[in-house]
Amino acid sequence: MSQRARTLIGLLAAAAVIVSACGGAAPGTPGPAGTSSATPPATAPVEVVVWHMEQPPNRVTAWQQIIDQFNSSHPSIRVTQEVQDWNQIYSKIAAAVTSKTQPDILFTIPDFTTYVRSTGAVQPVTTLVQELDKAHGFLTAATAAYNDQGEYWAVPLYGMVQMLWYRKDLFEQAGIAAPPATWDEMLADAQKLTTGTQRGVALPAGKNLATDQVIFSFMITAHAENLFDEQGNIVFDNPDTVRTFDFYNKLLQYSPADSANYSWGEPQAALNNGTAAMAIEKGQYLTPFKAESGRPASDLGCAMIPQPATNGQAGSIYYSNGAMVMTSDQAKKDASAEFLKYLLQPDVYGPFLNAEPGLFLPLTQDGGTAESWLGHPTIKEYQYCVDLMLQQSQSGMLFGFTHGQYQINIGSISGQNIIAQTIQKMLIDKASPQDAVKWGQEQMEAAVK
Amino acid sequence: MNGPPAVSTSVPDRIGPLRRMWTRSYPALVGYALLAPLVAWIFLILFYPVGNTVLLSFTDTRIVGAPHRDVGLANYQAVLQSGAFWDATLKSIVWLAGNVLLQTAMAFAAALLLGQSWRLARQARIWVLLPWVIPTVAVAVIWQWMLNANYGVVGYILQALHVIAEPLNVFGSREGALPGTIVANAWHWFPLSAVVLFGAMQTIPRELYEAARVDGASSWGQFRFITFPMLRKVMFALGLVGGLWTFNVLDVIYLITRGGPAGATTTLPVVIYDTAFKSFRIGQAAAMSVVAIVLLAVAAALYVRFMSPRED
Repeated sequence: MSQRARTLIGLLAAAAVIVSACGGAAPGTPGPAGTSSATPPATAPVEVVVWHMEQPPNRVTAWQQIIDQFNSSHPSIRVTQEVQDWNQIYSKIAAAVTSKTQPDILFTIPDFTTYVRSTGAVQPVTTLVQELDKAHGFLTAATAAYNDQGEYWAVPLYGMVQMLWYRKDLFEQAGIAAPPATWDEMLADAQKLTTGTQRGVALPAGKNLATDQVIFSFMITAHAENLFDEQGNIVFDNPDTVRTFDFYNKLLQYSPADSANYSWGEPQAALNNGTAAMAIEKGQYLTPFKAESGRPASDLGCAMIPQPATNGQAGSIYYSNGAMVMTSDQAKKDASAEFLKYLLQPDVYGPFLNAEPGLFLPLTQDGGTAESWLGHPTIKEYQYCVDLMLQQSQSGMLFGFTHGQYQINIGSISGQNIIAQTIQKMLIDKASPQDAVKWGQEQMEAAVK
Repeated sequence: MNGPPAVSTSVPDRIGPLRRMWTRSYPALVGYALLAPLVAWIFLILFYPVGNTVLLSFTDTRIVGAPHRDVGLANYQAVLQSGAFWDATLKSIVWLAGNVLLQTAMAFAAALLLGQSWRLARQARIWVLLPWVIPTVAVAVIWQWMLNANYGVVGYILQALHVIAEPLNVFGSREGALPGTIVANAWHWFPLSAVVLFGAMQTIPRELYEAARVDGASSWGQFRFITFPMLRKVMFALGLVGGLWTFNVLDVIYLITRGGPAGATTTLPVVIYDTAFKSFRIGQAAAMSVVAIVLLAVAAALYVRFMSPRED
């Protein structure tokens, strides 16, 4: 072969590489991973991809078992779960919707739903929610936060509520007979329990959702739960919010020195290893307590969120986690609905909730009495706390969804953790409660502009 | 003086002018053809995203894929008037300076030690790379643990030695957070510079040191007048690449402090990320990115202009 011929072949080969690199596959042609845009044969099961953000392995394993059972009993549908990260999901779902690779079902909480709805990919599930309500009886608080413009935008699946958790053994050592019921009592107890390397309480004060939620629990007890007025104006800067932040900042004196970086895990670790006597969080404290603390279950105490001695009310942050349907394909929508109906059947609902016993609370009437849920050893062992959580749920609220409100802008506020940033203004920058709350109001107004 | 030898013009005239042009230019064409895939790839992965970012910066896009409208230069106006942006830029400069100084010092110290003939030093040439190969998330966890106020080993030792009375609060305080993250990042990346410097040191002729020793030069004198000048070119390249790299670091900061507490570690990449994915203002974040690119380009040009090693 002459040099010229070789050159020509080389040029043609290079051109072929460029063309193949730049061009897409022909319609209907299988891609490199063997995927195809062509309609699958009628006998192939309908694929349903579920994204959720419950990362702990025990939760993933428990839900996989339920998915396997569903796939076995529904051969025409094949459900797969893909675990996501709460810190990444906001950017990831936006990119997924843009590239049309979003999941068919996406687990959610109310304020995240407002964000995802703005992508235009969320399908209303009103008929499904009404059907499930008729069959199982949803708690009103569970569905309200997903109802907007006459439609339901997610199917409620389980509730979460915060409580005061405390170490009974440390309280006894300090000579404190009962958990605090008021803010004053909590401050006094925290002071008394702060000795040596032990702190009275472990509170999150990092720029994160954990801090937002704990402060909001206290805000509810001080009648400061409304971030918006009826016209949708921000009303964060008010005397009740100021007294809440003042109290929280005082309480932080008795929390570990690096609380400004605390999120979900650190207060739990501090309570379990005995370096803190109190913490405020949801029911995920139950399962690991004995193993991590080395103490009997009876040493883990629980109580309602303390409230101001004057002009206070019972309250805690409470929200229902739900599932949004993100596909417009009718077959996938039907399959997704079938899967969500399956999850709420009382015999399946118990194992589904007990993926994290005590954290995932039932929000259907037949689910709350289902033996499949109540029969779990952890639920039985901490029955008092579980009952108290259900009781606390009755006074639960979520920012942006208080008193029947549905604030579409709340995602911009919670996404930036402005409540948490406000406490950091006090803790780190030593701002007064009035100045910090005023700053928070300005940030919220800018966020929703 | 005679000019270059004349090119033979004795090519038979039976080859036409087109064919002659083809014969002359085909080596260049082959070169272009072979380069074309690479150029296309660079356009795809570099110029398309940058161009797209510039286009986004002229819109009020809040979420990727959501409806938006053109806003002209409004995003740039907002960014340039934003105190948060310039505050973050200042923190980025501190972050960059701290990292460059610390990494250079650690890398030089490590490279000099690795150059020794001790058995331990020879073995260290392998395990000095460990901090570099550890995933960033593990680096973040290691430093969070070591500097934890409750159970951190650093605080424990310092308290046991009565150096400090109160628990160490590095990442939870405005004073400690930025230096703490700088230390964590410098520890993660110094092995790369150390290995490069060590390699460059091996190319310095031994005779120079021997001659210096004969002339009575001390160890410091040898380092100052031989090692350091001979490494200038390598250090210049490391400074340019490492500086740009370090300026754009987001992962270590986000994993350890998420830009907190109270914005103490909110550098430019952090504020851009937060604006895009926490405040949901992609358009404004794109404008910030474009301004950051311009600032970095100017800084890089100044660095090349004034810090290039002289050819003496």
